[in-house]
Amino acid sequence: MTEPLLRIEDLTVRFRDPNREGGTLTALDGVSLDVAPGEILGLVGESGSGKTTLGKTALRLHEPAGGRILLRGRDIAHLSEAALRPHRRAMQMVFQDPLSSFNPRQTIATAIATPLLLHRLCSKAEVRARVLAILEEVGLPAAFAPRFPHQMSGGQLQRAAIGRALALSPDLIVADEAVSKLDVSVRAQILNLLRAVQRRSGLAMIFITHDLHVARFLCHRVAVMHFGKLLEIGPVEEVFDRPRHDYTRALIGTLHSPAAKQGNAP
Amino acid sequence: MSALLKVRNLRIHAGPVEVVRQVDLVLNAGETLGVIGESGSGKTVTCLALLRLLPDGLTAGADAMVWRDADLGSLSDREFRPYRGRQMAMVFQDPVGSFNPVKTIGWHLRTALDRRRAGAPWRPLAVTLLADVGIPHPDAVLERYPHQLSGGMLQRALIAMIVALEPGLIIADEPTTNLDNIVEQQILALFRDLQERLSAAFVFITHDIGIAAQISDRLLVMYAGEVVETGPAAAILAAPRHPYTRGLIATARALTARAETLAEIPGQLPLPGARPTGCVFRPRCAVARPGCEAPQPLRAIAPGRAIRCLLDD
Repeated sequence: MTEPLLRIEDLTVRFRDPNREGGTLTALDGVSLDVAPGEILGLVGESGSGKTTLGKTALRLHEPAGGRILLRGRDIAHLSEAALRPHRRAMQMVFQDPLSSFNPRQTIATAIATPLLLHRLCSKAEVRARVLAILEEVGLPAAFAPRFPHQMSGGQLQRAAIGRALALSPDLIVADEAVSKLDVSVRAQILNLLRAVQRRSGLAMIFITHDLHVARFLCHRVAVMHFGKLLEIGPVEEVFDRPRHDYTRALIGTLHSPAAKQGNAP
Repeated sequence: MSALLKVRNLRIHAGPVEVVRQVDLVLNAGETLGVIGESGSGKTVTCLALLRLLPDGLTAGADAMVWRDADLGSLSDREFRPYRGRQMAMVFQDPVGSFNPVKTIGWHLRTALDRRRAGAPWRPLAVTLLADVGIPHPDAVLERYPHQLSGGMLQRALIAMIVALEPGLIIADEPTTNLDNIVEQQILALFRDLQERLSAAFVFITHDIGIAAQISDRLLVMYAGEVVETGPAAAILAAPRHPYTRGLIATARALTARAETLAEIPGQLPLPGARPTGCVFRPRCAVARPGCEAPQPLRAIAPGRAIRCLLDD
């Protein structure tokens, strides 16, 4: 196997328990996994299983209580905010609700241009051309550049959010339920876009979803989480066709679900 | 089969804008109608209008609305009240909102049971109801408050309340969307069981074709405030006729079949104030042709089956 882009070793994350003075909740309990360059790893599991915590901790949006996060061999688990900054460009995130991930008072062009300028990836003179090229890459006409978030639909905004993440040419994108809030017809557009973008740019992706059909469509490998632990991980076909863990078997079982009513086509 | 609820030409307005138009519904006892559509298609407001629960700013009108033998259209809001909950009940996506947060689960069940228990002690009845929907330790759960139960357990408790009410019509609006896959299947099984026992008319709103296929006898497909296709679920799923229905089903199938590229429906739902004239799906339709710019009536193509499209194949 090639050198992993991201290696997570024995990662443990604890939060303060809001219901118990001085108590802690263990959100992640000794999780280890690798993400290879250019692969899409799916994280599946029910809500509360630790999928989002794992994704956010991999990007160091949380500091772990134990374990290591190796980004290209370098442990970033306890780096200071300043020491993390050079690595931030390489790791981007796409959230479930695109509306809340944009500043409502900034145009889409500004939202995409700001990180480009902050990371000095292009000069002020070039920035407009870069923004338009990014919009085109995610299938948005140039006319969207001066729009504000509230003037766009959920699908268009999610395209812009993906464009903003891509603008920095990251090595890794963590997408947290990035298609869950979208309408069925628009979801297909965004899934096709994610797949095309990933192939074009060869970036790696951690794709968090509770939708097994979506995981199966998009991901190369899939990791099943349950109560903060990693139950199993493997190539998507293998996990779906030959699940090893009882919980995974139950989860996969919902896919080939109980007979449709009176012989309705599935 | 006897019709419990008949609605003709239901329409809903937000000021001057027509949000939902020309909806005809016939709901039969013991039958499940699956209502499919994306957010903004009008499926939820249509059902809220049936229960007179529309939010402020929306108004509904209909040529006829008949429940069993009662003309609901002629009733004042006060006269309508006994129908809501007792005759027609609704389950929402988020069960938390259906409970009073400062009252126990037991209080809710006792209230629901009060109308029917005729002096019998409520507690054993409530325990049986909770046990029937698969809630472990029902005796202890009666003492719990809504926030102490998980989403799946709360949805079960809500279903137990509905069983207690024995309504003739149950409307469920995306009742499993917030739940995990395993719990979702359990809740669907409960609904099927519940419907058989009460032989109620059942309306199940969902955006998930797979779920609709599992539970529906008939389907109603909504797009941009209009019914675009309706008919027996098996017939529509086997051979959808409206291009929008075809797109929805093709997308769902492609995802299941792990196609290389998913079938897309290009474009997006128009806003209620900016609907195109003529066929509302026309700007997104791959097979639009001359004639589509004229308004399309919902026309019968087979017994019990109709589409709002001029295409014949």
